[in-house]
Amino acid sequence: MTWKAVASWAWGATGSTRAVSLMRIALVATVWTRWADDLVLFRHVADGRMAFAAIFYVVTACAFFGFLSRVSMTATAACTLYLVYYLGHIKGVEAYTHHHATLLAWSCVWLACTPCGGSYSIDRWLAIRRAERAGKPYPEEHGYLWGARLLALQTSSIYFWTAINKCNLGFLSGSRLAHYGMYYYTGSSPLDSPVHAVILHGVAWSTVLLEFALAFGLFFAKPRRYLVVAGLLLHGVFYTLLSVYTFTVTMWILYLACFDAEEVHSAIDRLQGIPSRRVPASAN
Amino acid sequence: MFSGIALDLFEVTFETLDVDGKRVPVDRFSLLGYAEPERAPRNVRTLKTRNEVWVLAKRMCTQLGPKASLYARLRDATRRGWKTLEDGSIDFCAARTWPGKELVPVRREPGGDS
Repeated sequence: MTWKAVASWAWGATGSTRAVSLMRIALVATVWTRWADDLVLFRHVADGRMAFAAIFYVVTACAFFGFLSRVSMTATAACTLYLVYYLGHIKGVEAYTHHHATLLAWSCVWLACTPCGGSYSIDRWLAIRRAERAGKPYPEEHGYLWGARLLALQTSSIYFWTAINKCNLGFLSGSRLAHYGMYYYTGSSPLDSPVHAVILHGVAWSTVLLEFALAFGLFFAKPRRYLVVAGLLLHGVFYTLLSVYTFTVTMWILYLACFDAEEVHSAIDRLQGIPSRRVPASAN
Repeated sequence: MFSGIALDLFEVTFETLDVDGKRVPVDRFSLLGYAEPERAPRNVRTLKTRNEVWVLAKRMCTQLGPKASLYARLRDATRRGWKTLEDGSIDFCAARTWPGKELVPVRREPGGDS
């Protein structure tokens, strides 16, 4: 792979807008899951943030339905950054500084750099109506996808750095997993039987290996199909056993950015029984 | 991520002496009358501070009787794994304070353990 190919992959990427549009809908729904209840207007009568809360609802609703998508998604991203960095880090709302909230905010930022209203949106509906009135063919669901590459890089870097962070004796010995198990489930009594030791070692090493594999393998079509299944399960287990809030569903959504956009488009066509004319980049 | 979770956690086991003077493990739950450990109060089930260990040990000493001994093996959860805080050498029933450690008095909530 040459630098030219890498640059072409990163900056020259174009393709179907369906994947990023699905991400728009799902990420905004996740943003609501995380923050919408906290921003209900009556909660902010006294603290002067009622106007911000109202803006949040307007722009996120527009982004969800895909109305003025680039603008509304950018505004949504700005709102999430305000929540994480101003209210969270500066004003001390500690819960807003957690990793799952930060990931959600930056995912919105990168998604705002994509043509995320190109499909499944009011914008698309209006574009089709204009084309019909003018007697022109429907506009293509197509656009520049360098923002989707940033989302894929973010996904990969999360796995890479979290795996690096686990490369220490505390984690690889299984001790940290024992801490989590005791903290959430069994209390201060030791988990020190030989069976526990084998399970904790095995889970610790396989988690780190899977995270390294996900960090690099998501960029390649062949390993990706298996790694995505393993990753979906991994995050499902995280959600079921630990306390990760919106992290699991955000990572599930981000996997869409790791797939070839044409592949996603074709898959949706197939689901709808439409023979697809799209050719995945990997088939070229 | 998640690396800061579960660092305020102690692992603890207790031992006492049998009639022959041999060390035998003590189940803190059955000694204190908690038939279901998962329903025991948080400060019996999941210990997070030395104060909680001290208070629990003294309650267990009371249950064991006036001349009993109670030893604790205590480890602290850290990012690098377990850090041993007590190796079972101190008899908590005989000690009036935790040797070498300053304990902040624990205020017990009226009518409850947790």
